[in-house]
This record gives sequence, C-alpha cells and structure tokens, in this order.
Amino acid sequence: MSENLISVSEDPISAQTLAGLVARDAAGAIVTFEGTVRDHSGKRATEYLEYEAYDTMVIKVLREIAATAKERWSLSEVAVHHRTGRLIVGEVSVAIAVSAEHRDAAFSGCRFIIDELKHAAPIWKKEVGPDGSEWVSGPTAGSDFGEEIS
Amino acid sequence: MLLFARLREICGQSRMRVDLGEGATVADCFADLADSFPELGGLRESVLVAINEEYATWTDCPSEGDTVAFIPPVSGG
Repeated sequence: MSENLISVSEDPISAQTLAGLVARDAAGAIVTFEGTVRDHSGKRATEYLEYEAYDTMVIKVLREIAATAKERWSLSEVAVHHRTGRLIVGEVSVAIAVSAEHRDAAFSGCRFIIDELKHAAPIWKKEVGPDGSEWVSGPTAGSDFGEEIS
Repeated sequence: MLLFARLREICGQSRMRVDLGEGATVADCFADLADSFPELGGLRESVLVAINEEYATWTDCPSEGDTVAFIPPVSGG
C-alpha cells in the first residue's frame, strides 16, 4: 500500500481528492465518506475542535484496518486521511475513499473503515465552545453515537 | 513514555523517560505516574496501553528502549 493512501496531518483534505487516488479501471464503484465538524455537541455549541493523534500508531492502525477491509470485501483500493490540529465548524476531519468492482463491497468497506477508525485509532478531539472545553470520550461513552455516524 | 489528550494535560508533558525496575509491568509504570499525579488514579479503567505502537496489556513488561503509550478513550473521526 503506497504511503500517500493512508495519512495523518494538519493539511486540509477532501474525499474528492482521495477518490482520485483509489480510481481503478477494474473498479465500478467508489464510495467516499467525509466526517465534518458540527456546530454543536448535544445541547452545547461548538466553536472548533482540537484534534490530537499518536500519528505513527494511527498510521499502523489504519493500515491494518484498510488491509482487513480490502481482504474482506475484495476492495480495489482504500485511502484514508485524518486531520489534526484546530478545525473549525464545517471543515473535514476525516476523509475515506474506497473503490471496488461493485457498489455493495464499496459501501460495506467504507462503513467498516470509519467504524473501526473511531473505535481503534489513537486520535482525540477536544470540543471548544463558549461554555468551555472538553475531551470527547468516544463512541462507547457518548450518547449521540447513532447521530454521529449517520 | 507517551501521554496524550487529557493525560498529557494532567501531567503537563507529552513524553517522559522512566527507568523501570526488573520485571516492572506497564501497570507499575502507570502506578508510579499516578503517585506523582493523583488525578490519574481514577482514570486507569478507561485507559488503554501500547508498547512500540501496538496495543498491549497492563501486565506486559516493557524492555529497555521500548516506547510505552497511555491511551485515554479515543474520539477520532
């Protein structure tokens, strides 16, 4: 898997860019996902998010997740980029692109990758708003998991 | 030893060098840290550990030169 398919950095990213990286002649489907910064968390307003990552381990974890997805759904290619640093409302924090021969595999693979990333990648976000700031404790402890992945 | 997010803020630093005794586990390492930063004590249940960028267990014994990371609940995405 080439280096630029999986990355963590402060650079802005779009799923469209990643879609270009995973396009293959044999692939008839590309599914992309973008996670964006919401203006609220529960009832509290959010001004920006501060993302922190254990970069080198995130790359390892994401490569394992991508390899698992590629094998399980016979995906053509996978690209994942996660941003770090300060992100304001509306900015893309994570982008994923998956290509496959057919759409079912691409949808399933993409869904698997974002779910696994949220579960296992050592990345943290702090919500900062007018009422103060707080480290988000993750999907297992949060009350809005269903909302977050929709 | 690497500390992230809330753990980093509590300890006021993101990395530190520690000398562990013979047979010391990752749990011992965290307990030593919690002696200096009592606020950490109540957080252990929610923290995961990694050795050299691989998830590990509290009973693992790091070797000299290993990088131990304490990983509070993750929230990527």
